[in-house]
Amino acid sequence: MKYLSILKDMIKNKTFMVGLFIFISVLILAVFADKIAPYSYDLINVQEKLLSPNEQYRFGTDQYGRDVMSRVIYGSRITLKVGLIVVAIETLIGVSLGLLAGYYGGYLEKFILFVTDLTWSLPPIIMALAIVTMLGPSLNNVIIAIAVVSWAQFTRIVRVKTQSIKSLSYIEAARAFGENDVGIMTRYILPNILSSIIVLSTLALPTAILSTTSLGFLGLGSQPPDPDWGLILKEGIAYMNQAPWISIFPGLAIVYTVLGFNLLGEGLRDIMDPRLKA
Amino acid sequence: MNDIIEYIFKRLLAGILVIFAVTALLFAIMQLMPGDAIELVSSPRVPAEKIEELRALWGLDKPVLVQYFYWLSRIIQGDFGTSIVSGQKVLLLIKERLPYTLMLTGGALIIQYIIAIPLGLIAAYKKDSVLDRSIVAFTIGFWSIPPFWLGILLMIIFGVWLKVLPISGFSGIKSIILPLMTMALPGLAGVLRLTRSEVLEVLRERYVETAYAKGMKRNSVLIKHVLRNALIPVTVMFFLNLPWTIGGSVVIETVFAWPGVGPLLWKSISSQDFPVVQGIIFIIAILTVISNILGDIFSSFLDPRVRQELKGEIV
Repeated sequence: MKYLSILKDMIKNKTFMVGLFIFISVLILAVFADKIAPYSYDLINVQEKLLSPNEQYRFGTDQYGRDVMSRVIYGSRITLKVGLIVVAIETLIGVSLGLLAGYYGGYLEKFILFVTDLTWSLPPIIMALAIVTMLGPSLNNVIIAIAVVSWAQFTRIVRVKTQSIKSLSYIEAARAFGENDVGIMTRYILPNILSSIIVLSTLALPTAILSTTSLGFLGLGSQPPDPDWGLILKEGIAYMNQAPWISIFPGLAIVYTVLGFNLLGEGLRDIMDPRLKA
Repeated sequence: MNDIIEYIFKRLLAGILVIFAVTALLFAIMQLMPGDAIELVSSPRVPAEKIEELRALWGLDKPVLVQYFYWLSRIIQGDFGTSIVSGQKVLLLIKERLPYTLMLTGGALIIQYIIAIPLGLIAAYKKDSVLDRSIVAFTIGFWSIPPFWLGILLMIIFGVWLKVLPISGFSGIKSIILPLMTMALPGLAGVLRLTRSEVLEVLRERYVETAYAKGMKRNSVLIKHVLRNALIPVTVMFFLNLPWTIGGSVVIETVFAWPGVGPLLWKSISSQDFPVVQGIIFIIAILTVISNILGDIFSSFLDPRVRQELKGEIV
């Protein structure tokens, strides 16, 4: 019954529904990119370079005569993949550390909090730049860098929630029945904070996408000819005068996707965990 | 009062600890990088003994820990070494460019707060009005725009189509307009949203009702009671946002070829000019730690409730 009422709340929540619609549309675009895109993302046609948007090339062509629309469509694959992997990693790190800190307390908690503070001692983008400098520019390293700098918010919230749950009597009862620490954390505490984690992860997704496209834009992520939206924008800057469409459409795609995830996250929060607000 | 002094002291100590950790991190990062500085600057034709000589000169033949303390004692004295690419002193390079970055970030933050606070107050007071709804829509919208793309868009609109503003570099006061707008707008959305939600919270407090019951005028209630209390977290956020704004400026400055620290950091990363990268990141870390501490201290001064909490355990 609980799930049915959540489902009803979801359908009533306009923010959530618009976000869900956008998410599904991007997902379809990514999954069926090779069927939807009119051309391949790396099909070079020098004779038709820098054409403005027309019947044949809806978003125009770039400096190598590649179809900008096809590149944007294929790019959704990279964006979605990267966003989801980054959020999965940061959720995993953040939630485990938050559980440990909140459950055990003491020096372990102090140490984890210190490391959390440490990741906040530098602006995330700067920290990510430092890590990418160390590992070398590539999409995988950007994923690692962004995940490493952004797990701390999960830890902070999960720690506080764990603390408040662990003193409840049903945890006592579980312990009395011989449940061990790992069992209590994963089977008794985790399910109770799951809705917060889902909301936090959804809200982390747009941030992850913005950060990875920023690094892509700086040329530190995907390398040419990959149709990474950030990278296309970087390459487009040089042709801003003759071919502004190269710089416009991938940006619109980022805004559409990120806006969708923001709405999805805000909607989910209002439905599942309104107290997470602010 | 003693609580506050003790608290500030603890925060400072924690801050110094964090800065040490950052230096260790920076040093580790540079150690893990492929190749060393000598290999980067010298061509293969340089004889091996000459390279060894240079290594000894730069202290690169010592054990790692010794190198770290070497390096640490030098940067504490403000000596970040010389750029591998240009041969200039790193501190000098940064000094030349830092004012431009601070001008941009400072200007952006001021614009954000001047615009966002009154708008946030109005939006909250007229909750669910058309104005409030459009302000909320605006904030979500701006949160979804990558700042670097906003910059590109403004360049296309004002530089390429309307041809009224220069699109990149620094050539007088007109060149600051576009980067400043790009920096200010996304953050403005955040401040606006925070102000709105804080004002909404305060409006629900009993003392606001009391103030009205005492017969106070609406405007003086809004300013004396509501805004004053709502601004506490907003002020704290000013300090917490400062480093984020500096971080964001790295990308935005690169878009506009602004003569600040951002493009220098980006170029140095691309050319693996690590003394420069270390220097810039170190300075940004110090700025971040200082503004975090200032944020904490401000919140303890402004908010009696935090002062109360301080008497308890501080983690």
